[in-house]
Amino acid sequence: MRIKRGIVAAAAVLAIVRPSLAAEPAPTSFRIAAIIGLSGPLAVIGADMRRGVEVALDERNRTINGVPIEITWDDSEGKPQVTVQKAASRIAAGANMVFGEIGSPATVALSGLTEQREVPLLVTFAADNALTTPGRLHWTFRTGKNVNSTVGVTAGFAERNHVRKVFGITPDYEAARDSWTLFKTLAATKGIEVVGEEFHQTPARDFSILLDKAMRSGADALYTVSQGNDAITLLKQANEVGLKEKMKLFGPGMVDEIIMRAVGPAGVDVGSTLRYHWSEDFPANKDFVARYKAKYGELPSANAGDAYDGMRWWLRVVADTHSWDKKDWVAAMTGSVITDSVEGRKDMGACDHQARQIALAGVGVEQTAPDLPKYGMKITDILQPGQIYRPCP
Amino acid sequence: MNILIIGLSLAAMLFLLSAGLTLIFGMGGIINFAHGSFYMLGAYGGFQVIDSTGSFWLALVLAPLGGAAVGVLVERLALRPVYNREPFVQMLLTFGVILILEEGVRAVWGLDYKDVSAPAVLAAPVHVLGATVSAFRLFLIAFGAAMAALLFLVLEKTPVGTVVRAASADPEMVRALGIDVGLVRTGVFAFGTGLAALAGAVTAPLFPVELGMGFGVIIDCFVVVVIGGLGSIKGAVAASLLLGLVRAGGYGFAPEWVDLLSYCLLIAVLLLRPHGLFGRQRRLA
Repeated sequence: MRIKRGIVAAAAVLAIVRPSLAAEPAPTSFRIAAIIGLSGPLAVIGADMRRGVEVALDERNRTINGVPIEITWDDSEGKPQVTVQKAASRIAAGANMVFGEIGSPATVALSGLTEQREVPLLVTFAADNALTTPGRLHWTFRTGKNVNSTVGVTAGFAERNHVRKVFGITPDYEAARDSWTLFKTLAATKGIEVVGEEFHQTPARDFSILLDKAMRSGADALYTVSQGNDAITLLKQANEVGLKEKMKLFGPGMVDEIIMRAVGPAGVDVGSTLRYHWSEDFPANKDFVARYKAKYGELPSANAGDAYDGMRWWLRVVADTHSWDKKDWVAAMTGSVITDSVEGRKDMGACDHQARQIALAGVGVEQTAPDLPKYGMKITDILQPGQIYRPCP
Repeated sequence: MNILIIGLSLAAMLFLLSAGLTLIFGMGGIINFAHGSFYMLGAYGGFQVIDSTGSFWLALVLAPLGGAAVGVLVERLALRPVYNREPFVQMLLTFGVILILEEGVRAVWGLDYKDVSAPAVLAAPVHVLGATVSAFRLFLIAFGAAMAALLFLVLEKTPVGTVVRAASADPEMVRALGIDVGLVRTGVFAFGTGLAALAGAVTAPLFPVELGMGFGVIIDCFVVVVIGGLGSIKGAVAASLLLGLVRAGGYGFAPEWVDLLSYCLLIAVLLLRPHGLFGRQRRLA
């Protein structure tokens, strides 16, 4: 009995003193393992994300709570296996957090590893809903947009542009099919009829026959979930047959500044969601754009802006904990709020670790200002978080 | 009708892409894995010419010349010393060439996509027998057919073609006749890489011009070369037509299964004719 009482007392004492006993000693450096595509088709995205993160680190003088920040950049080659392999190696070497990847399949694979190793993962690009399914992942946070929000924005875009009949072209993989299914559901609620759909392999080499089907379908708009190289191929080949003169062309994340550089006039008037835009009218954004231009001599892309904002938010939360325990960082980030992000206020969902934030829709435009590239994007609609995201219960 | 026209345009592109590869293998015995990189180089070179001069047509002249010039360097500096080594040495070497060319393109043009548009005269859609196709596609069909005819004529009907074929069949005999076989090999390799660069420049208005573009096409090239028969230009023409029409039909009726259909075609041809449609079994003794 006495022994039992002693154990209870010892447990009580331990429970009281636990924070100090468990407190992690300050490390010699705060290590960020960035695993993103730096070669092949993803290199153009990865390079911009890297630039955005570097600006976020510069802003803190590359230190956090008096400890230098060390960041390593590994090329994931866009492959899940390579991503996991390189991340595992960095985690084993003592990484305090992981940043990445770009594509959803690689990011989902990466999240499996970071959950298992209990290391925080910051996601700014991949939009797969699986990364922020409520209650599924504890160590993963997405500060960028998710599929649901981008599809919601495009459905609103269709309504505001008086689309009545739509034809869909979708890559044949799960997340894209889910996105198209969600759009069809939302379109039905807005009285938009889906008159046809086609699924294609990715990467796709030719869209001309699918585009011909779309033009013959009687639709007044073509909706596509195709992204990156597929989107470029589709836009170039749609331009060949004058599709834009016959129907509206739009899709989630279909065009941005990078794609506009690739397609030029073929992207003008094409509707899309935007992850971020350099022209957003927030003080923090103006400051970021000025820093970015000073460092790199050009305007930040959507990928750079997203990466900067996510890393800045995360580092600020970590710094405010004054702790070197990863669990404290995760607890602090869960439900955290940043009021001065480059896109205004962002709330991190406590139930799903998905940031609630404004969403943008825009169109490709030809730009005449001498300091701007010839083709770029213009924001047409700004939606508030309450219009897009469900609140956490 | 649309499927036929698109199929023919795909066939023209496939032929332009694979002609150089089959020529280099057929005449030089080299499996050039860097073929896709020369295609990429041609697309970037074409972009540069158009950006500097505004002329798509000039790009079709200068990009292949640039590709051929780089081909001469690669053949002279890298391939020539290993002609008598095992085939895998050549393959590894051409893998190395891929890395060098990709880094070179990255250093010169950066990571960004490049915009190459069709010339204004070919930019409008046209209506052919009820189908809407672009004038540029029709141009591609004509261009591919003209290149096939030209290649066939040069290789089969001219003294140059005779020398090239002879140097491929029996280099020692040709050397004994006083012909510089090394020069012939350099010329064939340069011509093949020039063709790859030409394919890159002429198809750039249809596809993304980016660093990874060579990897996507190299598999298509090998499928055409294997179906047609290794080293046969006639086979490349037939295989391109067959594959182009199968792919166009696939896009029309089952776009999710296009690649599977292509590989089924490859398997069927290899089962019926293991050396390809126009390939010849080499005598071993």
